[in-house]
Amino acid sequence: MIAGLPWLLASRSAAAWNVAASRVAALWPFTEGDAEGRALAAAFDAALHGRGQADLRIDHRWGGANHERTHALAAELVRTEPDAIFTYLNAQLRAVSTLTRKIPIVFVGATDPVGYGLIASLKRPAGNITGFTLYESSLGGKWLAALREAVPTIRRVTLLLNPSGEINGGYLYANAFKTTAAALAIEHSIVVAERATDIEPVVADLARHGQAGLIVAPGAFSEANGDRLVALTSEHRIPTVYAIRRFAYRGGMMSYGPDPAELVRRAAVYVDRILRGDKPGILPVQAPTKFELVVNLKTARAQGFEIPSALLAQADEVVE
Amino acid sequence: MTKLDTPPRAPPKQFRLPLSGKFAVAFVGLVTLVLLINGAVDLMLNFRDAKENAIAVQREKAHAAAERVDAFVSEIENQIGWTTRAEWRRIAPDQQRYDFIRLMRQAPAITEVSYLDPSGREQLRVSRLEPDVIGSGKDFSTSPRFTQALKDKTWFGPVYFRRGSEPYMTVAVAHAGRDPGVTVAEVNLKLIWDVVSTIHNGANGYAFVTTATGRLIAHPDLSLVLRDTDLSSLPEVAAALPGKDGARDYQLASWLDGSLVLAAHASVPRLGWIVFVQLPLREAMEPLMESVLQTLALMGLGLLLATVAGTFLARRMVVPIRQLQDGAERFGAGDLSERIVIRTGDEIETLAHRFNAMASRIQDSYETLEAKVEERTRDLNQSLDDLQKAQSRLVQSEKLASLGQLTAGIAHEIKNPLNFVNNFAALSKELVDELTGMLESASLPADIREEADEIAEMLKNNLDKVIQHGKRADSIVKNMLLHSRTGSGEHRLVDINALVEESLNLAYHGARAAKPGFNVTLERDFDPAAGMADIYPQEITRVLLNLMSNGFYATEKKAAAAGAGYAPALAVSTRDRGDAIEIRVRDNGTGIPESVKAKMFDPFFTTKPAGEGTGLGLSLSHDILVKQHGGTVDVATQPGQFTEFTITLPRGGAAPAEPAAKPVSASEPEGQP
Repeated sequence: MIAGLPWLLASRSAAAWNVAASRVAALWPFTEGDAEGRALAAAFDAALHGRGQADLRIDHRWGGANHERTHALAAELVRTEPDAIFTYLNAQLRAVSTLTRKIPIVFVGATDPVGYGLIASLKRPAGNITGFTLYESSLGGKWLAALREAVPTIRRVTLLLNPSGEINGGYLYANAFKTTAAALAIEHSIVVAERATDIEPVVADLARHGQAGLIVAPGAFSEANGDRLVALTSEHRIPTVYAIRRFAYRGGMMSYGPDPAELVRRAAVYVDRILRGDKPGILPVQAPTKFELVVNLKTARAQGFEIPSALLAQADEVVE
Repeated sequence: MTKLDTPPRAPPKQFRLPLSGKFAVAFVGLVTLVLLINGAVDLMLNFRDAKENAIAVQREKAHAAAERVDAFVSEIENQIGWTTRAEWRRIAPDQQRYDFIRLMRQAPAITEVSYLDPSGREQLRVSRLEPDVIGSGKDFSTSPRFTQALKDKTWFGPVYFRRGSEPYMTVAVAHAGRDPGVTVAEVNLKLIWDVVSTIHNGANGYAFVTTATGRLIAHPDLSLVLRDTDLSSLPEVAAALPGKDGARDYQLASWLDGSLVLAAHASVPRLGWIVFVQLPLREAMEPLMESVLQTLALMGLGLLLATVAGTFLARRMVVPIRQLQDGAERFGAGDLSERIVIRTGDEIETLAHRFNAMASRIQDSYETLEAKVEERTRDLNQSLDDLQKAQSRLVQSEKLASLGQLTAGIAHEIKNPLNFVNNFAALSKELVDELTGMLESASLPADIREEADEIAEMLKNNLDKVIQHGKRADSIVKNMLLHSRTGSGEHRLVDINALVEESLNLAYHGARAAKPGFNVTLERDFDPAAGMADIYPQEITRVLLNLMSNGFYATEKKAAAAGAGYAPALAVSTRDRGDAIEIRVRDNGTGIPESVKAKMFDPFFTTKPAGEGTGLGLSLSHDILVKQHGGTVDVATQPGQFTEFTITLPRGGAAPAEPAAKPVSASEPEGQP
């Protein structure tokens, strides 16, 4: 027993060794000063600090939805060789992942990372990349079902996709959306919006048809143009389901998706573990366990829709 | 002395532990031993206690954790129970869907729930991820989720992974009543994480859950679970798996990362899961560590105290011993003046006192011995001196004795021719008288007659002188014979003045004969009334010669010292004192110092250089005068001025006196040639 004492005591301080003066860079799809971006960045910082990374330097970069700027920032980030890079959403992950195979990358939000070849498997990524997915492709159907339940009279629904949602042979959510639309006998169309100017024609088209709804899939484009979408759909009284939670609060009628702050916090835990020596290759990619349905009754009423009580009963939060 | 302490063959540089060191080592060693034994016993007991405690705590926590996991599953079961009422299948599908949605709200772990009707067909499926499906009619009638649920009321399916990483379990609960349906829920086991991660076990301990085959279901590190980790190879898990009954429910094992942990486990029998609770060994043994540290600290403190006390005591003990040693060394070196001062009030002080006493005695003996040796040396020197003196005196005496015999021989031989000279001189005088008478009668011219008478008269005068000096020579020879004869001779009536005069002449001529340049003024003051006395003339002559020659010696010495201007003189006088006669011999020589005066009549005492005097002169004179003649002898002297001996002789003093045995029969007046 006594002989083992020094050994037991010595192993105590090994953990704190790697931490000193570590540097983490984060790449966000928001513009600097964006409230959502600041809130998520604050959640990220707080989570890391809460895990004892007090003197960690966190470098937040704000690329917005701008493709070129994001890539420039990604190159700059990689050049500074931080100890870990955090990316939010798929475009940001892709921008960074092509530049380095060495610097650990923790993502929140990725479109089919296995299919794209970023990681070997969700269970064991094996490379320098790991993180948390925000959505599942089956949600394409779920959003549609929710919209239909809210507005049972709906006959036509457009799924507004982001270019980052592209996967091998199509787009994420598209198949589930199509299958469900077929099952529900709803006319459906899919639009991939690349520029802000792509929105207006879609909304105008829907308005022209009447009894139409819009599903806004998640992505950097949606994050950037959500408010504009809210304004346009409100103007044209088009019931809209957002994957991104906050737009239900900002005037969208409904949202069904995970709490991004929760996932950012969990990603911060991965960053912390990587800084403490864990290999990103053995940290499995996790999926969210909880999706929340937020219903904005105010918007619904303003647009003249009565949300059925069955759906309200399902809602996790109701904005009145 | 110190060399005797070391064995002669011991190498001189061999390390020698001083006494203080030995004492301190013994003291500290003893205390250390006691502390070590105490500490070891303490540690042993503590170790057992701590281990048993830790195991008991872990076991308890494992059971508690198992209960919580069981409660989690039971809760889901209960929530599902909402939908398993007997009449549930008869309510409207919308209501059923609503119930399912509510169920999923209540139980976040459930991702999907479906209802199988009594024939095993799916009637309703509500999912978080997919659109709800009503009346799909999928046939599950042979699926275990249906058959087993009907059989056992509740069925827990095996753990499976969705999307490759999310652990799921199917829970099927048969409805109540006759001909029941089944509610099937897909439970995301990641949510057990909430349960497991709230099981706190110390600071770093935690709980985890495995299936009966050792696959990890729940662990605070979710990534381990999502990685679909198989722990069956881990010893602690392997030992706990079914079929290993009888194995201990705790284990000391190494975890995946190799760290030592104390693990306990309890099973959730309903699910066949095993809940493990483990604590890093270091933490489990924290109380022990504390007690070890405490014991070590106490031991260290004890050791320190022992060292301090030991050193202090050793010093206290050794300092007096050193003092003792120093003192003994001083004594050994012969310095007996100092004493060892030790005030310890113990045996060492007693020992120091003994040493001091010993030193005192040695010092005393030493001093006595010195005095004695000094005394003996003085005695021996004295004896040696005496012996040397006696030897020289003997030699002198022998010389004098042989001189006496020679003198007697010479005197005897001179006496015969002297008798002829004297006799024929007297005869020749008579013949001259006869011749004168014949010439008167003869006629002769007047001038011839006158010339003849003148010649006759001159012849007669010459003869008278021959007779006179012949008699004187005869007297001298007689005296020589007298002096050279042994024994004191016979006493008779003697004319004292004549005796003194003769002695003075002898002494004077003797002195002049010995030293040709000798000169002294002789003053004679003889009392005509001195007359006769009955004495031993020979002895008295000896006394007088002795005194006179001493006087000459003294004047001679003073003359040598004083030089010109000094007129050496010797005065001799006689006086009639009625029944006695007084003779004084006075010289103006060196005098006699007071120190000598007391001893001058002692035998063998002399102030003259060795070989010149025997030291017996005055001693014998004293004996002769006092013992033989009943007289006295006194001395009056003043150093540097004069010495006067006064002899008083009774007129008939020698009559009764027996001549004392004279050791030196032929002793002569000193200075006599």
